[in-house]
Amino acid sequence: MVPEAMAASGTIALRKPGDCRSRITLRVSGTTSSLGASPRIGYIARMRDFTDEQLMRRYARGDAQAFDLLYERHRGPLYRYFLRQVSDTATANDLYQGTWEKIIKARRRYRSNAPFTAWMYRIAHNHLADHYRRLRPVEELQESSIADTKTGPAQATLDDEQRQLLHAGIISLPAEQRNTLLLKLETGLKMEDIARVTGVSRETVKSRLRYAVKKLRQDLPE
Amino acid sequence: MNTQNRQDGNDGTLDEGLDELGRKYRELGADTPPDLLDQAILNSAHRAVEKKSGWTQFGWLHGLTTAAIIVLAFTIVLQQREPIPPEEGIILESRPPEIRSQSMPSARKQEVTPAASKDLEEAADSNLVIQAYSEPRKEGQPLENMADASSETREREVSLEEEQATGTRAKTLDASEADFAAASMRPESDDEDVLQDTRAAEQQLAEILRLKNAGDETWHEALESFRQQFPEYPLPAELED
Repeated sequence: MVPEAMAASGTIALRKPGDCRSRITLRVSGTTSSLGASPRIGYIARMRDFTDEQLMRRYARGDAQAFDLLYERHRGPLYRYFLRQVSDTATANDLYQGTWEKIIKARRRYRSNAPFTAWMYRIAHNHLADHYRRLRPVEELQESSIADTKTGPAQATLDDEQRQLLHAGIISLPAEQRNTLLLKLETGLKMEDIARVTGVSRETVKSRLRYAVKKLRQDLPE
Repeated sequence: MNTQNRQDGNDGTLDEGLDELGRKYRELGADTPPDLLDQAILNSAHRAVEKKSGWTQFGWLHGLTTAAIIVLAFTIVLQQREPIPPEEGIILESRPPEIRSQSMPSARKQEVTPAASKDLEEAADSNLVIQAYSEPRKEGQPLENMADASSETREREVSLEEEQATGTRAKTLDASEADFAAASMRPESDDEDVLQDTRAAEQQLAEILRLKNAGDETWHEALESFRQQFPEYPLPAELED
């Protein structure tokens, strides 16, 4: 996302690349100086160089703009993490929103010695696990659920069939393997961090990834 | 991702598989949450940090106030534990009967120092009350009468003639004073003995000096009596021959 021209009221409007219609408006709180919103905008621009850990610490101390930037960085991967694991968009939305609510509530407990991404996905993983526990032990995956998935415009080189096969293959993986694979593909976390997120050993993480890759290679045509 | 996988120490097969899968996965599409969902989450995040009560804004004040209260309480407790030094001049022992019988008749006519008179009166009052209460209460005699007897002595100035007239009561006063002094001088330990003697001696010396300064010749006799009672006690310069 890129910021558009800054309004005098101090509002940053973010436009998704390639999307002329949708805008996300981030409120910029605070008084406006005689120079308009530029001092505040400059402050936000400087924060873009901060690490996730720095932004989270600032948010814990009450800087809402720090959260805005943090959200901007992680909204996509976290959303897709849920979207690829559940059968419908509505459930993914609920899980996604519930995870962010937990992150907001837990902001004061965040310790910057742990990577923010690992901490955030630990919360997401536990939230997802709670969701699975509430579900029936066996849930049939319906063909229609794949079509319900919202797919944004993508510069895809695969045709639709292959994309659907890949998606179906991921959905059909056992929950632990799927979860581990998505953590690896979406977040790029190290094995150790994935192990910390999922609560298993590093070797278990490697094993799950190995099985998942093997199965998907079998499902997808070359 | 290639660099990260190598840093993880994964074997080549897994690395290659993940790389290939990652390329295909990214081509699935960059799905993003709906705008309304984004706005709801951002609003919730802003509300969480903007909602502050009056107290929360000054969270540091909590700690400071608590620390101040703890320090104050600790200081008060420490001061309570410190022993209170005995005030000088509060000497409840009465003068020995010999000095009283020799000097008191005229001394009584003279104005007694407030501190000494107060001590004597308190001793007299307390012993009077004790004696009054120790006597069997006569039938019909209210308890208040017994207490009144002690309050009357505070206002009296006893002369020789009044002593004769109220002989019983004056003797009781002297006797009570002596009893009180004797009781108070009855030590509980050797250290207390020394302290009591010292106080009695100092008080007698003070009385002797007062008599001398007032021009009363009886101070010689009082001094002689003192020397008999406290032969080794050092005398002040004014009383030394």
